[in-house]
Amino acid sequence: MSWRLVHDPALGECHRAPSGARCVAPLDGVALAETLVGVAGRLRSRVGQPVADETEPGEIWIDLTAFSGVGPVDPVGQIVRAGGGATWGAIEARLQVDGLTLGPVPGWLWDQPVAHTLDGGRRARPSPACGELLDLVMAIQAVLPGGGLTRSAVSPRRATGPDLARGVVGAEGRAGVVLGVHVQAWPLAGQVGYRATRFGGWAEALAAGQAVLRAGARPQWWRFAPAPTGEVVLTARFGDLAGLDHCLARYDEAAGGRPDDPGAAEALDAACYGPGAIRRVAPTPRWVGAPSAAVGQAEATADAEVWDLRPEGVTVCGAGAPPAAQASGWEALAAAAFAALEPAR
Amino acid sequence: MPPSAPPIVDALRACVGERQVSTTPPDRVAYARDLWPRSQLDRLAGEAPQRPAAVVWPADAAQVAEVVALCRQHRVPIVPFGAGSGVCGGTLPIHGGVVLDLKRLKAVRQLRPADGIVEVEAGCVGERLERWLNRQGLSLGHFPSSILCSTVGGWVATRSAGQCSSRYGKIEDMVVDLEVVGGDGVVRRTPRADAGGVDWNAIYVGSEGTLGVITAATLRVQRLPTAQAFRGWRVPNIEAGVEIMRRAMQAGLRPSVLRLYDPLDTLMVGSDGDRKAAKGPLHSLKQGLLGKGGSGRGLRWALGHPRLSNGAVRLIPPGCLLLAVSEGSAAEARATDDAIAAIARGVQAEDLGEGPARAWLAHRYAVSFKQSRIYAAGAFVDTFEVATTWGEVRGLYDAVKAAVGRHVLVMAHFSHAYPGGCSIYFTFAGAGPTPQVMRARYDAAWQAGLDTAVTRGAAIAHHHGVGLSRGRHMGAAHGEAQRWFGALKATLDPDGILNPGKVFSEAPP
Repeated sequence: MSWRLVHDPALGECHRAPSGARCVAPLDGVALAETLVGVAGRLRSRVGQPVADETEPGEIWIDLTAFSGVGPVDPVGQIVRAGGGATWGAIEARLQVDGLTLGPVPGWLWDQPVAHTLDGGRRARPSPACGELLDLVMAIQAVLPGGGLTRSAVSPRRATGPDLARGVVGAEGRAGVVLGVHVQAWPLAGQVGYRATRFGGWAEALAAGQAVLRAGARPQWWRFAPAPTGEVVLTARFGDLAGLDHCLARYDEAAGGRPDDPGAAEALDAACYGPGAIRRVAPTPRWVGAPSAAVGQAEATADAEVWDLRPEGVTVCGAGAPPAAQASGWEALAAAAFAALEPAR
Repeated sequence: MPPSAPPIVDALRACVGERQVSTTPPDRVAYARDLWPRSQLDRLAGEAPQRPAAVVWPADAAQVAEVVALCRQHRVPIVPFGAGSGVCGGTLPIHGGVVLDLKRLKAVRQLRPADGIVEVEAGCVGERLERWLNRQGLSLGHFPSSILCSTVGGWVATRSAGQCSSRYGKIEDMVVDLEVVGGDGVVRRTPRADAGGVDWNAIYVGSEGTLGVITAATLRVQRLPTAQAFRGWRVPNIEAGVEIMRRAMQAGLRPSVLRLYDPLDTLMVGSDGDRKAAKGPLHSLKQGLLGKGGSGRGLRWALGHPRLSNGAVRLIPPGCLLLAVSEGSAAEARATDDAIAAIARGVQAEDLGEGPARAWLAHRYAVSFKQSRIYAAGAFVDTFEVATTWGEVRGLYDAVKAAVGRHVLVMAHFSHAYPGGCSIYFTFAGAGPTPQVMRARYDAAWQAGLDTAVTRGAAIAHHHGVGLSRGRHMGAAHGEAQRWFGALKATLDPDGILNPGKVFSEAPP
């Protein structure tokens, strides 16, 4: 699919694909607001020109290249402002200049714009120590389909009605376009440590993971995956800011299992995280559900991987089909709410 | 709806039972208010609050759905009601209608320890749930000061926080999914919070009954901590105390409590310091505020002259009390306590031992009960809490104190610490020659405090919610995001019967 420059009465000069999808690259918030007021269609926030074969007729690609700035950094609050078009990699690189970090950024997320991640609303980077990436977003500024600009206090927590700042999260562009965010950062850990531990099977491994969490030893990332021997191997990276040795000792005591070569964890770290990482993505589809059901899901899947284990939830990559969470009428309600946001044309 | 409107009352009785619907004056008076202090000032000024036409006690979600459907059919407003401990007027039936008391929905439906969750009905009183979980070796980790008189549904509806939120998070961090009855009278269960897509839990949490009636919640639970460590610190000033809190949280520590009192609040709490400062006028003020003697006339005079009183507060030495509670496994509690101690010693904090934090723990639910003494003395008292980032904490504190201090005596403590910032909890007290003047000063204090918070980009509420007390500031706080609320309201409550006038709302005149 090729794109050509055309003059669209609503968008002015824009790129149009043969499919009918359109792409516009507003230079500032006013231009973006005018675009959204002037045209109707499903929005997709991206940076740069659209990728062929990923568009649908009537879609509007919002090229957020003009909103890719990162900074300033609030060194006291350890908070950074970033445009909706900024990539997680660009944010991480900027933070590291000030001795800060988002925590481990997977290679597949490195070049993804913030707005795109928020549009999807899926758990992007689970990390027991540093938090899910979306949870680090403290404030979101967005332009609504009607052109209005939202406001959101930059605050760690609030109780001002529903979490309207998250109105765009998971909305696939239907609730507006993310102009910018404020993101919480962590200090860079001075030291990191690795662990690899073998378990007899999924049940033992996932139970050990829960015990590790209860012991307060929280890895920056961890991965549970089957070995050719039929065992399940837990590999993890730790970077506890308040004392790495304490943290590793708690892990060793709580995890049990059979210690393995931590070099495997270090190698995985280098392969999957940071700017030089491969763009490895864990297998799909992804099953998300309760821990008690996760063991069965993992056991039934040959290449299952678990990167996201919490006391109340597990994501099993490669296992089964995603649960039909939206099947109970919620998708219709969401569509109605988004339609109510559309301006009268 | 007029009280005599028989069609719906009869229909309600047919739905939930004769004895589960009341139109008697005592019930209608009782359900015409919550613990919003301004209601008391209205009463002193001779103004009676709007009463509901009826109070209904449904037994389960199905009955809630039937009641909602009936009210929708008759276009009658519904105000969901838990235990009535809200302090913002969120459950006042300002348009009359039906108050839906959910306390009969009090069952713990299921506990799944292996999955770390409990499903509980909305009307379950918080302390009862916590005690029940403790017997299973578990805890919710949610300890609001209202825990004895608030419900799970109320917590979720107002985006409540417990005193240990630094470790366990706010209620929104605990919600896995919700059962809600929409304004269309349909019972639905939200998708799990980790399911991806639109986060419906984030939409219902904090909606204060305007988007749906929450009838049950699945919440994350924790194993009971096996160890706790208590420590009190005397810090040289507010900056030093805030610095300890910030460094501890940004180091990835997870204490359950970090709580810093400003100099006046330190005096009121009664740390080991400041015995000398507690003499003279300030001593009288403390005695009066805490109801341990002192003359009501003296208290009223002091509170009626806030510039003088706030000026006198500046004579208090700048030292502050900081409380820290760490918990978890024995190793984690000890490691956290040691790490905080190392940070505290770095800013010349004095170790006061376990006593102050243990004393706080023993009385942590008693705070609200002191307020009635102030009103009995002919004065008023209230609190409001805001939240901001660490870099803004001191500036926000100073600005709010200066703005509010023109109208009332004001003090604060800093708590609910997170890596990104914390909450500032202001307590203010005032007086006036007449109830009308008192109410005007009360309103002026609120207006000044929230105006300042909005201007400085802070969150105008951390855990008390919006209700009526913050409604007029919501537009300024959220900008066009209120259109999202409007779109959700139009979708989820198409006839606008659910707690009308709240959240983005009608505020007091």
